[in-house]
Amino acid sequence: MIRFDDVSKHYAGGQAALSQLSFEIARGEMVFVTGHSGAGKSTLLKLILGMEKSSAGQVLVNGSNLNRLPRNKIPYHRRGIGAVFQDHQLLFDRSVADNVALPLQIAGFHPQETRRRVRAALDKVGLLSKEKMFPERLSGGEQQRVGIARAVVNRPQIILADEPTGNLDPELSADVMKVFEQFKSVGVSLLLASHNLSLVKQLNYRTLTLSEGRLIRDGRS
Amino acid sequence: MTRGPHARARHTRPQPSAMDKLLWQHRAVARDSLQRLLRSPVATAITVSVIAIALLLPALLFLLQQNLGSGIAELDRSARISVYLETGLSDSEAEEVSNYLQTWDSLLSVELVSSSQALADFSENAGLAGVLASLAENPLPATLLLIPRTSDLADLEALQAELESLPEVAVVELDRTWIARLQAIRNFVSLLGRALLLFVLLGLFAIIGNTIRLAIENRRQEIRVQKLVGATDAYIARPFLYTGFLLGSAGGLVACLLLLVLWLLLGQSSRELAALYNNGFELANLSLVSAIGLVLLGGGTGWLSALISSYRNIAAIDP
Ligand SMILES: Nc1ncnc2c1ncn2[C@@H]1O[C@H](COP(=O)(O)OP(=O)(O)OP(=O)(O)O)[C@@H](O)[C@H]1O
Ligand SMILES: [Mg+2]
Repeated sequence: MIRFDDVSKHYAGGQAALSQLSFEIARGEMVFVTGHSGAGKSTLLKLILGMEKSSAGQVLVNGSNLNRLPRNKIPYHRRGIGAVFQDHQLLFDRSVADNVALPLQIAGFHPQETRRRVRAALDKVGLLSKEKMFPERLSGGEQQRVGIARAVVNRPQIILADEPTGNLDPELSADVMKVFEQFKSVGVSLLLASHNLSLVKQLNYRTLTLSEGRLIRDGRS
Repeated sequence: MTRGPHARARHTRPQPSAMDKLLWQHRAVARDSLQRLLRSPVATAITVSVIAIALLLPALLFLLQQNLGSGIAELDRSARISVYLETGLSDSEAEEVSNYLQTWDSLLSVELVSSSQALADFSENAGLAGVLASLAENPLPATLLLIPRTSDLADLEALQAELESLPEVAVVELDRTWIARLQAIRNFVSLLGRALLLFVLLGLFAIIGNTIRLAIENRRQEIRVQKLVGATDAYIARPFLYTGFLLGSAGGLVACLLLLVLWLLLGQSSRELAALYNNGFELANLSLVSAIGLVLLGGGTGWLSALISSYRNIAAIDP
């Protein structure tokens, strides 16, 4: 589903954020990415989402080579991916429900169907009671869960999550992981970046460990 | 790759058609654009007024040109064509030509001055009775004074040629200087109107384009997020296109209302003026078709400038 072939990424004027990464993630596989701050975890996810382009090597997602994907095809590529961002990327001028509805509106779902799916997604992350609130009023962890609801609402084939449990207590983290595992069980591929080594160890999934942009370990923690 | 096979299995409701999707989206987007405009009424009112006044100028010239046209038609009734018949014709033959010309649709009136009448007038006025009386034959031709229906110079010239081709006609004299002068003024106003329209459209492009650019700038974060969850540039541009269209057509509508007010104010005095000249001239207002045209011109210009502005500015936002 996701394949990296010898991928490197240099930001303009900077050092290498990623160097010569190669790995493959199958359909229905759930994989963690860990590493110190600045190791390149976010960069890795941005490459898959088409937010950044690799400087060298190929990134293949669902069979298509992102380096050769024309600009106007990138939106359709992104619709197949649910992404949770490290900085949430919520819109503060609209309610929680409207934030979660965004991917569905863009894909052109009927308002009724949109509402049904939004409620289902918010229910999964335990925020159904707050659907009418504005993100500003929510705690950091709640905002994070709104971001997770938005990532899964369109039932994507791939879920990318950058520190999805960064602001959550252990109990909520476990709940969120259960949501991700449900998606894994129906064939979704997941790539989760996390600092939280104890959580990663405890769940015992395949883990990619980055250090200064290099893949230093690929295996079960 | 929007949804995987598992999604289809869980979700059995028939998929909405692409047409339905577009319809829902457009309805929601148009409503949203209107609400956003109404949420900042002062800024919207200022933009709409600027657009209206810009559109008012060429529309006024257009009306002036039209009114000059009908003014010319009224004035022309005092402009005549003089037709001098061959000198050898008898009074009854001249009468026949006159009767024949009465049947022409292109002429409003035909007045015959027979050669004997001309002689009588001439000798009375010029005091040359003695000289003329000594001549064996009347040297003066019969004359026809015609009032044409048309005021168009080209049509008048065609009429002149037609009259000249008649065997009884010697010379046709067209009093064209007055007509040509008015026609030249009218052409000038029309040209001025078109040139002004061009400048106004360029100005509208700048005004509306800039309004849209600012609107996009204000919603930068929203656009970023939309792009991250898979919105195309066309989808993101849609509300801004509606904004441009709404601003432009509102401007066109206000311009129409201003024209109506002007017409009501000027109508009375123009009638008084026309009465002084014993002239049936009536100040023409914008026809309904032209009014709709003006609104659509505003809306179209708004839409097009929003299109250009939004595509440039949205593409520049890279998440
Ligand atoms: N837009 C950018 N321009 C230049 N350099 C960047 C940019 N984004 C990231 N970097 C650099 O690339 C490297 C990797 O950054 P990245 O955000 O991928 O790290 P990370 O592993 O996600 O860190 P953290 O755990 O703190 O989120 C860092 O050295 C960072 O300074
Ligand atoms: Mg990061």
